[in-house]
Amino acid sequence: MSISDADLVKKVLQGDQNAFGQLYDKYARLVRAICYDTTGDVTQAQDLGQEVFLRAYNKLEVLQDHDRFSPWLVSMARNVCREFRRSKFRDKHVLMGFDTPEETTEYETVSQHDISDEVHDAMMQLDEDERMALHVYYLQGNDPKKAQEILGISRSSFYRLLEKARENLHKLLTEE
Amino acid sequence: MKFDDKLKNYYNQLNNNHDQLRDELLAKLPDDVYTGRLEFIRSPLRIAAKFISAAAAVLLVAAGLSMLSTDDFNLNNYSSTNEVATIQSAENLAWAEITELISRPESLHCKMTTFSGRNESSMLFWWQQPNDHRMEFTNGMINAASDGKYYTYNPETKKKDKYNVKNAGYDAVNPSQFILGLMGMPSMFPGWIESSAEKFIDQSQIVSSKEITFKERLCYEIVANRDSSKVEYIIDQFEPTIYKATQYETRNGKEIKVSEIEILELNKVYPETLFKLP
Repeated sequence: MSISDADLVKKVLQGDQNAFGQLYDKYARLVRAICYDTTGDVTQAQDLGQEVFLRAYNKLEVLQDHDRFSPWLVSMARNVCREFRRSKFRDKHVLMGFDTPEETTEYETVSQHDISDEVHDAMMQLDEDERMALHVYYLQGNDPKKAQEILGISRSSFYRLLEKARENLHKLLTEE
Repeated sequence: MKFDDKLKNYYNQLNNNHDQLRDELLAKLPDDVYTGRLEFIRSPLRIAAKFISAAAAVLLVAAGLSMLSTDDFNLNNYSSTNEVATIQSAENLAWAEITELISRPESLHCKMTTFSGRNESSMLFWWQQPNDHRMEFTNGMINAASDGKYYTYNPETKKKDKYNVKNAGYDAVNPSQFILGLMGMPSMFPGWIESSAEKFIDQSQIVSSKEITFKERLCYEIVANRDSSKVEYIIDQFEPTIYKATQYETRNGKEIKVSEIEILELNKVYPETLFKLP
């Protein structure tokens, strides 16, 4: 039987860092997806994702409702992404868009690169709510309770949003 | 490649090096942060703060609106806030959560209304990071600002003006600066947002709260009293987002609606042309 987020948070606060590793296993991919929306680059998304978890660890004791770890973490990811975008905006020497790495690192697979770009470009034309619905569905399993917890919407709203997101994304990916 | 396969590949890349990344993160975690302490001090202030923190900014906006003339949202007819930003005491842990929860959006679009008897005046407001804003008043006046330039349109004279904004200044706070300062611009008002929001938290008392659905979102409707004002907030249960705040005051024994703010859009991308007047 899997341990609840609330129990894992309590364990972390009692000094069990491996419990934080379990929370990481549960939500790191979702956090990276949110960061990838901002960076457009998998490596940068990984780096930003690590920053999100580091902050979450250091601020965990201020989370009053331990059951709310996942929406709290998602909020934190969004805030980190906003800060990242602002820092890019302020840096006048950065070109619009992001520089792609000159070499393929061990973190990227070249064969997936073109597909990822195509899907990423299409994703960025969706509303943020629609993207989040897709991320939650594909990364957290088809669990309406989890979606409700993370997105704060009812089960029926989640399925409506998901259907709309898939439909819109499908249109964008086949309009070639 | 099929649609579902494309999505599967897209999300699979987020698995790359997961175990290595996790191990790296765990190795970086400081050892001395959590030493087995499980129970925090829970006080009524902290519980109140949890509900009010996300709404503190909107309450300040509503308070700012109530200081404006209801007959004429005139550019020259503003008053500096008389809220003294005194630092109230708050537990460190409660305050850390408050500053984390207050949302600093990329953009905001809202409608602000003030009421006076049977009269009401409203303004549509757009704001986008870092400094762009637009205000449209019911009398047809428009103010806009972007990229160091300030634009005005007077519907009576049909005249458009453009000014260079050299220095926003901290001394004379006009309504637009007041509002912009609330929406996450600490560079304009260092320390002001936190201390003012903290003061509101200290001085507000929750009267009631209940779960509601608002625009298909699970929300709380919170009623809080502060001095002679009552404010009803609709706050998202999961995001640090306020959808609506309505302020009432008691005058001569009667409860009167004074002002209201409704958030219409958050984090949309607006074109630059919205914040200029050609």
